[in-house]
Amino acid sequence: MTSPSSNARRVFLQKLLAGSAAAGLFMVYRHPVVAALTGDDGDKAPDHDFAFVVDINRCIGCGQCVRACNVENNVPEGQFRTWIERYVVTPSGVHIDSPQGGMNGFDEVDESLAEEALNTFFVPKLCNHCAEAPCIQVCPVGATYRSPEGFVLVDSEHCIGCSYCVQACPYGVRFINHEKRIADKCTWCYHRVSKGKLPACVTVCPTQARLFGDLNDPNSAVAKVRQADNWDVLKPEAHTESMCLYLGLQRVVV
Amino acid sequence: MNISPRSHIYRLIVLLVIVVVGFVAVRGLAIPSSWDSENFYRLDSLEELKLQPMHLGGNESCGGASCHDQERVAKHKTQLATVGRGSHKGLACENCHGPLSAHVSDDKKVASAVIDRENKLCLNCHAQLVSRPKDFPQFDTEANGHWYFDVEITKPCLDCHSPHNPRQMAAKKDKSKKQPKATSEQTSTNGEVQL
Amino acid sequence: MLPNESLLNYYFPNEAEVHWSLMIVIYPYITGLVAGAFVVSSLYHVFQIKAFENISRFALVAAFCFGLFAAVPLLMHLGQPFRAFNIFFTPHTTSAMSVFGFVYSSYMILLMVELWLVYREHFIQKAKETKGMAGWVWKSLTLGVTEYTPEAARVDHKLTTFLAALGIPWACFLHGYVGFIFGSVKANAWWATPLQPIIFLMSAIVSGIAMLMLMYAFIRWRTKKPYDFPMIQKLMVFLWGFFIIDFFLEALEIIYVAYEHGHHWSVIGPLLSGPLYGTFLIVQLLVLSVIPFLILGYITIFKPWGRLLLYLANLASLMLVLQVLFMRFNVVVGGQLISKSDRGFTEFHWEFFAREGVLPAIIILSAPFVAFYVISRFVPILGDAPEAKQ
Repeated sequence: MTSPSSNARRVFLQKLLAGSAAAGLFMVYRHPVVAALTGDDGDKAPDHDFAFVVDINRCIGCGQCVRACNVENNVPEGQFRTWIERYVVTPSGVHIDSPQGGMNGFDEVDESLAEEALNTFFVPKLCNHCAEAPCIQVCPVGATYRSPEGFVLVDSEHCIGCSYCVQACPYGVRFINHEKRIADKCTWCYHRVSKGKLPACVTVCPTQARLFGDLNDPNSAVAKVRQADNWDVLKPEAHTESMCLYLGLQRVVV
Repeated sequence: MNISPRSHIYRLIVLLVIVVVGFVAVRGLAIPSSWDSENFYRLDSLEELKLQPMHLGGNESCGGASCHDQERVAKHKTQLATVGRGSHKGLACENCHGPLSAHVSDDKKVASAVIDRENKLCLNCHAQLVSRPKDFPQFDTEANGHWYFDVEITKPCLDCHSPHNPRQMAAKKDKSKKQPKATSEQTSTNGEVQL
Repeated sequence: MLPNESLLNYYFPNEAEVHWSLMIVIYPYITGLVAGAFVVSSLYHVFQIKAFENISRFALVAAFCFGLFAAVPLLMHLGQPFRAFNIFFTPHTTSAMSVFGFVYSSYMILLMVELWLVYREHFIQKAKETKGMAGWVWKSLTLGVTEYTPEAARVDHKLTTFLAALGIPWACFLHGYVGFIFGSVKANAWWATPLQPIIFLMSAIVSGIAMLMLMYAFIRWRTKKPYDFPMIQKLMVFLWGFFIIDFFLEALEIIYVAYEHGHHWSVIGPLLSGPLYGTFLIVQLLVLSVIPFLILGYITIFKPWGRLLLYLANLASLMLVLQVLFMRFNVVVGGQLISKSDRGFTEFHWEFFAREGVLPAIIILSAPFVAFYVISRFVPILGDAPEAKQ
């Protein structure tokens, strides 16, 4: 991890960069700081630090999570806040599919493919709620942000629908909602978690392939996964500090 | 009249200053009132997001202190107990019975919950797929005594299996009804949280 | 051919749609025409290239006309166009796009001030001649200063030179940032290169010069006036020079990625041999680059004159104007064809009447020319018109 001094240097560098960007604009002035709502007053660490765990070894590809997400969040047809991919790795290459995002489950692959398969599994995908989210960096109006508890969210009243965030996301989890014409994506069911519930997909997963919880709570399942340190993240080379920890992630998965 | 050779420039500068001041004034008014300029987002949007209605209640909205654990729906209480013992105890009621919002609205029942007896519902999870984890139970005509009874995939699963406790065969179902013991431990997998 | 040993063309479910389509193709195209045309006027004002004296005003007016419509495709593209001003009210400084509002508006102000200085004498003259409503309009354009003294003319000249000089880095900034918007997206292998801003800038200058040539030839042909062959000759030399840099950088990027043979090539290789084979390799790099390169080289070295020069210059300019349009398409749309799953390509669906379809694109692309025609009804544009010489 970073030492305090290198952290201070990084903060300084960030301020320097932000400062020169601000100087480039000929009139940027500071708006009075509004007191933050939760756990964000000054130096005090936020109360929660949420994370998501996806256990590929447990996923059976039933599609419950995708259906639940669509119902819970009124996701337009043909767009997905979460989806399931099926990987079939063979000696001649890798076969990936996700019919309708896996919403209606999967039919068996061709017999020849099944026979050839060296390794095959399902991979649920969703927003990684990155700590260093490229989508937040590129949003020109501050309509997407990371809440103090670690939710990367979209301000549906402020978003201008430019789709820059869609381009910047390395994981393809963002889309422009066809009905609302604004950026949309998984919120880890912020509305449910704020009422003490679990995200819809976690609630319905029959095999506990999806876990959600607070890293600040050492007894939570996600904190234990993080502690065990046998997890991986998608596209580590993107350095997004993904907060979706994958268990059993195979090399071929992108 | 002796006019300065720069007077038109001064007038242009005045015009530009008016434009800039006008812009700054409009901008001051247009910034949302709850704007957090430190973290660069509108704080009110958090509250707005919290208002999104929930459709799925989770098992705690079915059993526990909720409707289906009360005496007036004794049958449901029994079934909850059955689920609580069997291999389906980790499942969400809403997976098979539909989302809470379609069943209850404003604490009132608006429609009966879905009861789906089609094989498709079972096969959604239990059809044999090469990609599923090997230790996950998947329908097989050769295994689990299916070969003995010549069970084909078209035969209704519920003829033999209780959906709430599938390892318990339908023939024995009546016996299990006589020993209701509510253990709804399947509420949630992780700690609950308040934001 | 599919990337990374993929057996089936796979893209993420949300990638079925290409989010940045034709409007975002023509947006950098029009912005580039602004920057390019402005550079030509600065070549005269700042670098004293006398050959361009007669077209420096014309270049400014053309830049202004393109500038008027540079933001229109963005508005057409936005999901919430009525919130477009959020980009001014809460500009997120970490986003390259947030700078757009400020760079674009300051550039337009600079352009307008320079135009105003150049045309002030004309405004004053018209204000004196014209009566009634039109007279008031002319008078308001003079800001009430209705004398044009030699001292004032000297002040204007100095300021014009200063603004023209300032306009060069500002044009680089305007167009460099457009390239930065694409070049800084690490999620897109086809976009993410630090060369992107400078490629965008060079192609902008190329398209601007070429478009000026076409407009100039068209206007002279329609008004049956003689052509300024030394100017055309010089313009083509500059066009060749800028295009060599532009083409070299475009080719360099591909060669680099191919030679490195790294992660990016695993998707870019199949992209170039697949979906972009026609529009990028054949059309942009082969036909629309090699032929104008040879023609412009011929013009520069062998100095043809008269009809031959005119035909060759127009042919090369037309091809380069299209080359840059194809380049914008191949970058903007081409990059989005790569699935972020690295295992396939999505498809671009051409639409005609839709909001971001071909028809709106054609209308927006022709709008600057209409604006130019309208403006040319009111002010003299090309240098050898009677009232032009000072």
